[in-house]
Amino acid sequence: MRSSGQLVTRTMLLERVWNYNFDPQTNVVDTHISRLRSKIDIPYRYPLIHTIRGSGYQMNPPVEDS
Amino acid sequence: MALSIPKYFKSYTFVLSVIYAALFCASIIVVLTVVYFSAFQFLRAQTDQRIDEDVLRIVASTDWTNTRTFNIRDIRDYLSNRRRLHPKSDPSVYLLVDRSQNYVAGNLHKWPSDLSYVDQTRLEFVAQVYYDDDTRKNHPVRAIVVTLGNTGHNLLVGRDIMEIEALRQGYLRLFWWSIVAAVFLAILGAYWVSRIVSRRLERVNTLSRSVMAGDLSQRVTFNASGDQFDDLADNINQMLERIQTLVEAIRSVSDNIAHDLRTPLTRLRNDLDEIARNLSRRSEPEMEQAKESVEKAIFEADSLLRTFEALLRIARLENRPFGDSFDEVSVGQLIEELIDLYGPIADGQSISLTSSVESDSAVVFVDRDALAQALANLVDNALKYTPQHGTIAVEGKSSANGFEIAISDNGPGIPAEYHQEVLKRFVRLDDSSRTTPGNGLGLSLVAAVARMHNLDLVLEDAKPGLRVRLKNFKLVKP
Repeated sequence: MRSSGQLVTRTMLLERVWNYNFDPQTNVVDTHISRLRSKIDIPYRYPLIHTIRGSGYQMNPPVEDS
Repeated sequence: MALSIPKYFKSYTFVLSVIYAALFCASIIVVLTVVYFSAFQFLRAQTDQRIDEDVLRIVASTDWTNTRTFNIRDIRDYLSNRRRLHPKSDPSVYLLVDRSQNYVAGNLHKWPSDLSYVDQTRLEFVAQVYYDDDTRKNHPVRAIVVTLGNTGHNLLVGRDIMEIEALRQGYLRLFWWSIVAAVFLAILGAYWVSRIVSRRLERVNTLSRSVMAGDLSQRVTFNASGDQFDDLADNINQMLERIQTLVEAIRSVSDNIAHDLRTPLTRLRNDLDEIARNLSRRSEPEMEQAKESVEKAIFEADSLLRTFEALLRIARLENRPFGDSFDEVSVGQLIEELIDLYGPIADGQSISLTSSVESDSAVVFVDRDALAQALANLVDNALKYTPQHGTIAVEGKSSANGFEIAISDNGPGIPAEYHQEVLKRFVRLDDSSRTTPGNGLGLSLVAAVARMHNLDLVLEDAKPGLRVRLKNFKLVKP
């Protein structure tokens, strides 16, 4: 929520969430994001987490289209 | 050989040997000189003592003590008698002259012309000595002048010092010859020593030249006598061994880089080629195709970047000095975080990822990021090769030499003959390089981290599967 609307790279996530300063070989972060997504996005109408291909993820507030 | 001889004379060892030889000769000269002076001083004193005894004997032949005058006739008779009675071997020499220096008695016939008549003068001269058989010889004589009181007669009492003189000549000859011999032996020794040293150094120089010419496989031969030259040779050999390993590692890395990057670069090029072709058609389906190719190209570029990133990371780890970035890290916490990170992925592949740490409070002194990366790589690998419903175990336990962390899986494992091979950069086993993603740098990084921490990295058959052990962690707190 703190970086709402900003691009967050995988490396940044690793550093801030797990306090790891390295680059894992497999898609560890992607797996975690997809699990997170299944908890906070799938059940609802509007996705919060958006994938920015090749770079990272972005969290956007849902667009109200009443 | 003939050409290299002057080199021995120029060599440092030769100069040192010559200095040593010069000191040696100087000390010989000092010793011989001291012996010379003290020995001949002693012989002269001895001669003088004999002469004095002789003087007393001669004087005792006249009744001097009572009359305080010398009876010349008594002395003359005594001397004549003595001459007759004494054999040729008697070295005594004497001459009695009267007031006007005329011969009175003795086996010298003439007062040596250049000698004074001062009473008690000791002197040495060469004179003709007569013997009882009337032969005469020029002999060196040491003598004393005695003035016989009021009579005006002068008496010369001495001894033939021919033997001492011969001894002195012999000694001086010996003196010069020993100096000549010492100098000769010293130069010979200096040459010999410097030749031995030069010859042994030459082996090192020959080797250096062949290394300079690019041949790193040569080694210095040595005598195994354990001296300094052998130490030097041994160190040089070990240094060359290390350099050779490093050079070969660099060579194989650059070969591998060239080889491994050619495929993704070619694919990238082909993707771009296709994009160009599709773009030139300007129709809808081709545009879609071009978009797809762009994505493929980005994927290839990303994988290239990851490879370079991994190479750079290994290089950085290898250049980091021991202890610089180290911190006290709890093993339990580190493994827990690792399980936390990889747990969901293992779940996703239906693999059970378990951990057990023998002592929860175990603390090691390590570079946290580097070690975490190494463990992550190992878990990553295990996840890649372990089939569904497999198990991966991360263990931390005390061992004989400190602490150890082991990661085992029950996947296909690695054949024992490749256990060393897979630690090298870009090395991937044939069947895996086609079926699983990866750049062949994961275990190289683990090896680099192990080296950086002075750990033993051991790959084992877990029967079935692979066990990787990082041994000899030094515990800060047990």
